[in-house]
Amino acid sequence: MTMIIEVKDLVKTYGRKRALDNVSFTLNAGSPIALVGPNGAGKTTLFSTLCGYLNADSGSVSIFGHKPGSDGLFGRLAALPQDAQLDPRFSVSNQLCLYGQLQGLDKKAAENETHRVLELVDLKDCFHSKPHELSHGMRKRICIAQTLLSHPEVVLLDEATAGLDPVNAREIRNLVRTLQSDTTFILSSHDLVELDDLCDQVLHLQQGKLTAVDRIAQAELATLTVKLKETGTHGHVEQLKTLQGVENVSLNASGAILIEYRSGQQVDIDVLQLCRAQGWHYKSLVNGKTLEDELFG
Amino acid sequence: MNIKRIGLIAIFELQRLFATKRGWIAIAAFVLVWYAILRYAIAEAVSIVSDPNFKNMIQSFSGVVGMQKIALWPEMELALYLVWSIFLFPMFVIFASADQTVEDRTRGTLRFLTLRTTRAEIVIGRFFGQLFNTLLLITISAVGAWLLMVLRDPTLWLSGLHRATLIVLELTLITAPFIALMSVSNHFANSSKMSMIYAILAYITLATIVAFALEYSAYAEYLFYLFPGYQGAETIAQNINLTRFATPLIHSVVLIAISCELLRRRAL
Repeated sequence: MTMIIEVKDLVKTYGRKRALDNVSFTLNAGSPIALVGPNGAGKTTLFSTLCGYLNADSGSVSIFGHKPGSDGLFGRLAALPQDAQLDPRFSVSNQLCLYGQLQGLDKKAAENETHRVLELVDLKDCFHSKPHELSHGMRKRICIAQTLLSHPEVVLLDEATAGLDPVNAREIRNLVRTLQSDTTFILSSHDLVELDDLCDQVLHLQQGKLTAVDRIAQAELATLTVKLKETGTHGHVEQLKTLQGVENVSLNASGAILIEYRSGQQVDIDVLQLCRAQGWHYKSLVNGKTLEDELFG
Repeated sequence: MNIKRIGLIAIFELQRLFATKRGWIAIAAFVLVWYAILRYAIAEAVSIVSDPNFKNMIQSFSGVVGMQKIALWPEMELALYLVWSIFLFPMFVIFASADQTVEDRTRGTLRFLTLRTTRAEIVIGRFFGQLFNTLLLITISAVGAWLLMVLRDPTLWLSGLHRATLIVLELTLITAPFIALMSVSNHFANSSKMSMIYAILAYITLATIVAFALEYSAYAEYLFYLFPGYQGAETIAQNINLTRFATPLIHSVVLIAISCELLRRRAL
């Protein structure tokens, strides 16, 4: 796999606060990568450093072998920065065409590319609109559209679905899913369900420190997450522990049941049969832990 | 440094003036103000200045005001236009080019741009865009002055055209360091209005300090050469020397280099 980003010992401080505390990681091209953490954990600082908006105090960042902000990355790395807005005095097409031309397209190609990306975010009718004529959600989608100009290899989306209605948020998730074969997305969000759905790899920032979670790495114990219509109880736990191959059963904070079993064994059918036999109505059976349980369980 | 990207950014600045509603309103206001200046100030003054007695008077204290050469121009409208413009255009560009990067920075639009072009290219592209806008606006006003002159004396049309062209080019050169000054000022402010205020305050404060220093040392006068527009007196006197042409160029290059460095270091 191609390495896209290499970060070594990155430190960024604001006054006395260490927003990034010796952060190191490498990311390969592939499926979407989540960047999660509570408010003030350093997510936006990390995004800004990767995009070249901020200079780190120490450490190094290399993206495709280039420093952030260098012209070797123009057209290869795109980003949706949090709260950034287009110029309200120019039409969407004016600005997106300029961006396309700056990325090396000629005028006609930039226009065609603008039409294409607007269609991707379902806003093809907004070609001549000015940003102030659009709703907040539409402006956000336009900003997402600008990241897709000229098929960049890496796209960083900071809170891409924040402020979008559920339908449009789903459309954006679908868009990421559709384009992930050609583009590596790095997504920051507080919506763990959304990231759970999209990402195999997670960067978890907390107080400036990073822990990486590889969600597809082979572990000795596999997990099933069962959500019943009623909240899980110790009675459910004890019954499930009796199943063959099950090593451990526990309840998470939201009342879902986590069943750990030896990798390679098949316990899902047994779990469903037990549910039926006991008259338990299940809402979902998830292969693996939810992202929330992985991070905070 | 990519010339094509600098060109694209500069052309986009042209659109800001000539293809937006706000830009058209600004042009309309500019034309009206210059119509008033040409019609009521310059046209009226020409009838006074063309009086032989007045010419003699100007010549008698020409050494003081430094206008002896332009006072003898047959294209009097252009002479008066030059005197007005040398004071008005620097002030005008401080207002007109007050937003080069500041509003885009506070809005976050620069973040979109810096993923596609370097920060230095943005500064330089916008400087040239503003310079070109200024050139066009100066041309509009100079054409007005030239027309006024042709209406009075049609035989002067060709010599006037030649002189007007030189005036337009020189005025553009004179305004260039003020545009560069606003580019620098943009990095210290959070809005175009504050940027204007900072530039004017800095200019007046530093000029006052230098004037104060003059009382202690005559050498302090050389410090005035650091100020954009100081060589304007050479233009009015029509002296042909290096100060007149090189000073605004040096000012512009130095200020733009400072602006590039400030934006390079800045968090967006």
